[in-house]
Amino acid sequence: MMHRKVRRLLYEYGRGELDPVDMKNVEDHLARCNSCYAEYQIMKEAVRLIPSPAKPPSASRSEEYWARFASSVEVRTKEGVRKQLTTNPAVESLLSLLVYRRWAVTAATGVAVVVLAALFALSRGVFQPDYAEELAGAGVVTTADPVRMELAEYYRKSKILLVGISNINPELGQSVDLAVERQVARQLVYQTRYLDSKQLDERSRALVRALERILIELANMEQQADLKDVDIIRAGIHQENMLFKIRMAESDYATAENNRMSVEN
Amino acid sequence: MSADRERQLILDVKEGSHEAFRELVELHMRRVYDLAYGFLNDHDDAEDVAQEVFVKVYHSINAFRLDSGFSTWIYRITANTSLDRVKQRGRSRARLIPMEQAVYHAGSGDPNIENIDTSAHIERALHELPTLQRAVVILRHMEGFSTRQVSGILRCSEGTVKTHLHRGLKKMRRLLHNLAEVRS
Repeated sequence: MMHRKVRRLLYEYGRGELDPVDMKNVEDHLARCNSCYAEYQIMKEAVRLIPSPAKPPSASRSEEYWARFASSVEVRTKEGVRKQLTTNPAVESLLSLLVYRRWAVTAATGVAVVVLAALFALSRGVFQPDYAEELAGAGVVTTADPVRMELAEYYRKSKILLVGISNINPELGQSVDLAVERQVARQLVYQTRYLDSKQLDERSRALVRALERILIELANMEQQADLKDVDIIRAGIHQENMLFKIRMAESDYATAENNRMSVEN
Repeated sequence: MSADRERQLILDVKEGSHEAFRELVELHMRRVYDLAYGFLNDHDDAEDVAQEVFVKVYHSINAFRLDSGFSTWIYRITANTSLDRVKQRGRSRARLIPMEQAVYHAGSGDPNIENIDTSAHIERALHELPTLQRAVVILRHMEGFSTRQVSGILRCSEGTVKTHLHRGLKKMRRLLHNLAEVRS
C-alpha cells in the first residue's frame, strides 16, 4: 500500500471502521513504516484532543422546547419571507460550490460565459428543435436520440480529459499548469447539468453524476497545481474506475447505434 | 422511520399538507440543530439557523427530486446556512479571536484569554481551518456522519473528504499545541 493511501485511511483505521482487508493492509504497513506509524500517532492524538461532543447540543434543550419547535417553524413559514428564504437543490449545490471552493467565483464566471455562448448559439438556431428535420431535409438520415448523441459526445470529451489528467507527469517539485483542463472541466460541468435534467437510464445518470463530482473538483483547482492536488483527482478517477465505466458506456452506445443503422438499412 | 414513509411525507408536503411538514420537521429537527450548533457553537444562533433551514425546505420542496437523498439535501442546506451565518457574525461582531492574536495575548498574560476553556480553544482552532476542511472536520469527526454522507453533503469525492479530514485534524492538533505551549 502506498503511504498516501495509508494516511488517508488512518482516521477510519483508528476508529475500527475499515473493512477487514484494508484493516489488515494498514496494520501491516504501519508495522514496517516508521513515518506512517508516526503519522498514525499524530492522528490519534488529534482525535484525543478534539473529542466529539459527549452528548448532542440538542439534548441541552428541554422537551417542551422541542414540542414547540415545529410550531415556531410554521409561524416563520407564514411570515412572508418567502423570497429571501427560498432555495432548491440546484441552488444549494451551487452554494456548496461557492462556499467550499477557492476558485468558485472564477468557475461561476466560466459557467456564465458558457451559458451566454449557449444562448447565443440558440439565438442562431443551432440547437432548435427542427435541427433534425433540417438535416433530414438535406438528405441526411438521422433518427438518433439527440440526448444520446450529446451523451456520447460528453463521454468522449470526459474520457480525453481524464486520460490527460492521468498521464500528467511533471518533474518532482514542479507545479502543473491546468488552465486548459480547468476550462474543459467547466464546460463539461455545464453539460452535466444539462444531461442530468434529461431522461436518462439509471446507469447513465449514475455515471454522469460520478463524473460531475470529479469535474467540479477539477474545475475548481488552482491553475498552477501541486502534484499532490492532481493526485487527489487521479485517486478519484481510479477509485471510481471512471475510465472503464466510460468505455463501457461508449461501447453500449456504439452497439445501439450499429443496431439502429442495421434496422435503417 | 422507513424511507418509504419519509418519501410519502415529502409527497404530502408537495401536495400542501401541513401535518406532513410538521412530521418531517420533527424527524430532522434535532440533527439539524446539532449540525448548526457544530458550526456556530451558540444555542441562539443554532436555533435561528435550524428554523431558517426548515423554512427554506418548506418553500423549496417542490424543486426537490425524490430520487435524491432528502437528508443529504437538508444537511447541505444546514451547512450552507450555518456558514453564511458565521460570515455574517464575523462582520457584525468580532466574536472569535484569531489564533495568532490569541497566542500573543496568552503569552502576555491577558486575563481575558486566561479564562478561555478547552472548548473555546477547539472552536478557535476549528475556525482557523479553510472552509472545506472545517466543514469536513465538523461533519465527519464531530457530528459523526459517514465519509459517504459527507461526500454527498459537500458534493466532493470520498477521497477528498478523507484527505481534508486528515489535513484538518493535523492542523488543529498543531494549533492546539501551539496555544497550550505558549500558555504554559
